[in-house]
Amino acid sequence: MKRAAPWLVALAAALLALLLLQWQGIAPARALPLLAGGAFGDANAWSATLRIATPLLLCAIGVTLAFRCGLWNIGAEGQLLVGGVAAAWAGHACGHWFPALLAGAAAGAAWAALPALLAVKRGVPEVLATLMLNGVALELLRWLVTGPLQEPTRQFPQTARLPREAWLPQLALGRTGALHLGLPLALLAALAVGLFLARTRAGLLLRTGATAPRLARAQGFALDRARVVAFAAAGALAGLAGAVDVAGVARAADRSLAQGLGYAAVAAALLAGLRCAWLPAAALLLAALQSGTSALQWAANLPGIDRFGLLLQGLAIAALLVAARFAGRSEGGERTEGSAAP
Amino acid sequence: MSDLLAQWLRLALPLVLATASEVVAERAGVVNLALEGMLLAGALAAWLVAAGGGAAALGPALLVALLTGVVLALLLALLVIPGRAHPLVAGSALHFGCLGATGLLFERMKGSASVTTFGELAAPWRWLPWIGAALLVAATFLFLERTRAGLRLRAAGDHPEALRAAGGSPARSRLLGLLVAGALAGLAGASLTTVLTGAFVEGMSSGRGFLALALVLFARWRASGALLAGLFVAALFTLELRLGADAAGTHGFAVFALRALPYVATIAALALVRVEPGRAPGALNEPLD
Amino acid sequence: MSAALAFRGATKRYGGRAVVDGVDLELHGGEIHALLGENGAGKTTLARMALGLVPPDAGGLAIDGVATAIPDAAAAARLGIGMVHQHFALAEGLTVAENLLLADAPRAWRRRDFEARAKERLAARALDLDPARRVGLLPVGLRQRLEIAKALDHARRVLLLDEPTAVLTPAEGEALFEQLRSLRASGLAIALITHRLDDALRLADRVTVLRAGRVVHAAARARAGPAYDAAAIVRALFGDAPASLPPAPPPPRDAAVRLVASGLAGDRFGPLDLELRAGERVVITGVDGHGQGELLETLAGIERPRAGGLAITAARRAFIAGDRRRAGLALPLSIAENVALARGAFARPWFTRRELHAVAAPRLARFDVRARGPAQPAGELSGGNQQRVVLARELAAEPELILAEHPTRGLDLQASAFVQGELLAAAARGAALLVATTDLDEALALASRLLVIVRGRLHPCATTREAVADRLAQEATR
Repeated sequence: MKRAAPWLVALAAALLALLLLQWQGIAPARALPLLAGGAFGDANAWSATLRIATPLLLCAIGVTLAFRCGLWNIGAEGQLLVGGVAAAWAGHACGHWFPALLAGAAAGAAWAALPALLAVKRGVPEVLATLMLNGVALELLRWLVTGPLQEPTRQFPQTARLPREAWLPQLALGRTGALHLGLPLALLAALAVGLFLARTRAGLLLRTGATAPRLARAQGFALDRARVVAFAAAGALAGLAGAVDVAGVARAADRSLAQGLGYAAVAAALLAGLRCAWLPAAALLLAALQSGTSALQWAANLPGIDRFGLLLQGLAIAALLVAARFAGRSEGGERTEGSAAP
Repeated sequence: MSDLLAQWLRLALPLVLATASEVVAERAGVVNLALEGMLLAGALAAWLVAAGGGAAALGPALLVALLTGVVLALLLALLVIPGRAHPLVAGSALHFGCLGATGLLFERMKGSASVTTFGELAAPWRWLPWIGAALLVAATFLFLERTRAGLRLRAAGDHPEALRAAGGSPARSRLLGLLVAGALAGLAGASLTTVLTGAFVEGMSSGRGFLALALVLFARWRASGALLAGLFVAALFTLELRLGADAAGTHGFAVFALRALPYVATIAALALVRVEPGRAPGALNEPLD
Repeated sequence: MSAALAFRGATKRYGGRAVVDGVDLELHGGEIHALLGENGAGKTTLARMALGLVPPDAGGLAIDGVATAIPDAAAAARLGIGMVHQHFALAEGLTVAENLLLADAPRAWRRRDFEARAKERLAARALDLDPARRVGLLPVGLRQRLEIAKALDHARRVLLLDEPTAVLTPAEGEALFEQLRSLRASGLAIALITHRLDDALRLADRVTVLRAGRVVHAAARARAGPAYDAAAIVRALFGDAPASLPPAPPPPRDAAVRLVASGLAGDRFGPLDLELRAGERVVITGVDGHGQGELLETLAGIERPRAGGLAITAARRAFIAGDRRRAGLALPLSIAENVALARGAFARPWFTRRELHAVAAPRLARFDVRARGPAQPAGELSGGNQQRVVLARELAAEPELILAEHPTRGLDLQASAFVQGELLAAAARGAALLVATTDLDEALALASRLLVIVRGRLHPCATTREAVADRLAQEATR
């Protein structure tokens, strides 16, 4: 019974979702093919899905890295924003995509390093610090795209459009061309972080520090410093996510950057059980949910149905929590307590 | 001048209530990460009931918003108490759920009917939200500090074992705390649509819920502190709006600085002012056995 | 006159092991009765039985001579049994008044009435505390007095105190003793659960020594001469069984110096001097809570000393922590990963799964760790196996200095013998060994040099049971 419980709960959540769809006026039989079609049906659908999945995956990897080290990183949203803006500026200023990606990662890293230092040195709960910085990042974006970094004609609230050389190399896929260098980068990052956590001494010690900091320090490990670096790396990944979206698809940074992607990354990380191997699947699933429900909205002419994805996200995490309870573990990876402050 | 004052008070209302809500929740031992979502849900619920209904619909709107908050808090309580989920993770889940559900519902029920805000009513009714809020803050204070239920709630969040030894039930106290917090959150959300603007916009809580999470530290987990912290930050917001209204593009940076100020100030204060050990509820986010 | 509370053949088993084994004990009104015993002797379980928190598997309790069952905490309260817990049940964020009245506060109140009520209660207990003060700001001694006041609210018959002096300064301890004496005069039956010999000998009218769940010694305060035969009590505490391990060879005389501490002092120990040479086996023994733990953690580099110098010349060191679950193992990680945490386990900063297995498997096998496989999370193992994993990590690289804090606590005989054997073998291969333990058998089996720790100071001692017992008794009655 214990083993079956997670599946039963997942089934119950799925049934609930279908019921909700029914209530919205969409017969499940019609909904599922529409959803699937919207996510994977044709080149355009794939493009829409990948456009979300790639930055989502990058952010989720960063979130997972931080969580496994025992740090609550809710700041992927802000890190993504500053990364995107930095990439837009650098790509325009240097005329190539490589500096754009670099700038994005650096900006994200800096945006994450600050809360990490505050947590380690001053005991500021990183949950709060990262949340606050998300707010600052949003305001920063709004200011920059209507002020110093606004495009030359001053008509639209966005940065100058990136020149061709600054576009990420890509394969043609549908209208939005979302099959770009960012995807292999993200997959590589998932592999790298996964290997780092599982197969390096530093990764081992960081994970140890999540529940037994004294043990990690007793091995001569500079735990505090390593944590700041890990947090900064997580930020770099989120910044890279922003950069990749700007240089790969959007070609400019505007106020539609991010749109909750950073928070969705937290959901993806939790859904993947904080295991790097499962992250691509979790990110793809959430992205498919997003693009599928958008398509559903178009086809069934039901406004707002794309918010359904968010609702499902919440349901999925809740289902996971209940299932974990039945299985006798506590979800949240290796952490069972609050902030990094010892 | 007087409409500067009015604007300040309007902006303060949801902040004070949201912070008070979180004070209760955290005193009971749970950080409510879904506060933002609850604000949105309360706002939507109030709007749905009050839209097109005129002044008479305001009362029911508030009630429905309150109940919405309570129901959401109940969900959180179920995940955290018997479900033994980590409050931050459960709060995230509920947050996404609320974001999705409010967006969904709003799109489906969008209409052109607008809400009659309290500001449009004749005196003394137009002062109702503030009188109500003041009463609520006072009631929260009295509840926490002068009733048995409130005492037990505080004990549950500080040292559940001590409460058990005294014959109380930490689980029950936590549940009560969350339900009260939910009610306050629902009302805070309602104030967004019935006092600030007469309409619902998606995402209109604009991070106020998250801000309230930080304000609780400055409020020292006290209802009176919630009032002061909310008023203070609202003053910052008011200033920012004024400056933003006066200057269109040239003072762009000033607008940004003021908008970002609450967040930056919060972090700076968190970093500079060490929260004395023993001030925060001792058993915050700890699972109950 | 029958006892206020009596245990008659009380027995409690956990998983086949008798934690309390046929205990007969009587608590009389107007007496302070000390229950002495080391950790795991069964004292706390007995107390929990009296509080209705643990039902006896065999035997039972009697109130005023009548056999009575105590099914739950409410029943214990009704029968007038109260306890002052070691870790106070006080909410530090609440005020004195709020803590006092937590159990029976009115539905709602005015501040004045509430404080007046609290003041009444405080006056009744002759406690001069400001009811509006937050408990978190009170010094520990006052907190305990508050805890006692709370317990006295329904402890009309029996008051149990669990390790009350553990957190007190000497002055606070004196104040406590005063209070206990006056409570005794009022007819209350007081049980003092402690492992501190000196407290027991000074205060108690009766002493009962528990070991491995059994009563091994009972004595009443003598009217004339020394109050108690301290040496006999100490022997009872530490046991008479002869050491089961063969005597270990003495270390070479001019071996390399591995550790030198001069004037080393911390919060709970020192200043002291200590020197360890290769092949030496130094054991620090004595009653728990006299600073051994802090000393070892300072030597291991986890805590900073307050004063003095420490020089260590050892290529590799090992630290076997006392708190296995928090400083010994990372519970969510697999046992292979825990083993691989050791410095120098891998040549490069990264490793493949095969290399992890290659490093971990032989170590796990050598220390005979029983688990489903190397990938099993460490938290799922039994205590004994967990300690084996710790050893597998710490000892595998042939450390030149080994620091160990009660290495066999919570382990059964077989596992204990194994651990001790490994430590001896390591020393025979040239490691300098420093062990802190309260188990006298273990101390005698391992030591080439014995030190007794009392109130943070080290005293050399001959490696015989009598010498240790005498030394401890001496210090206890000082």
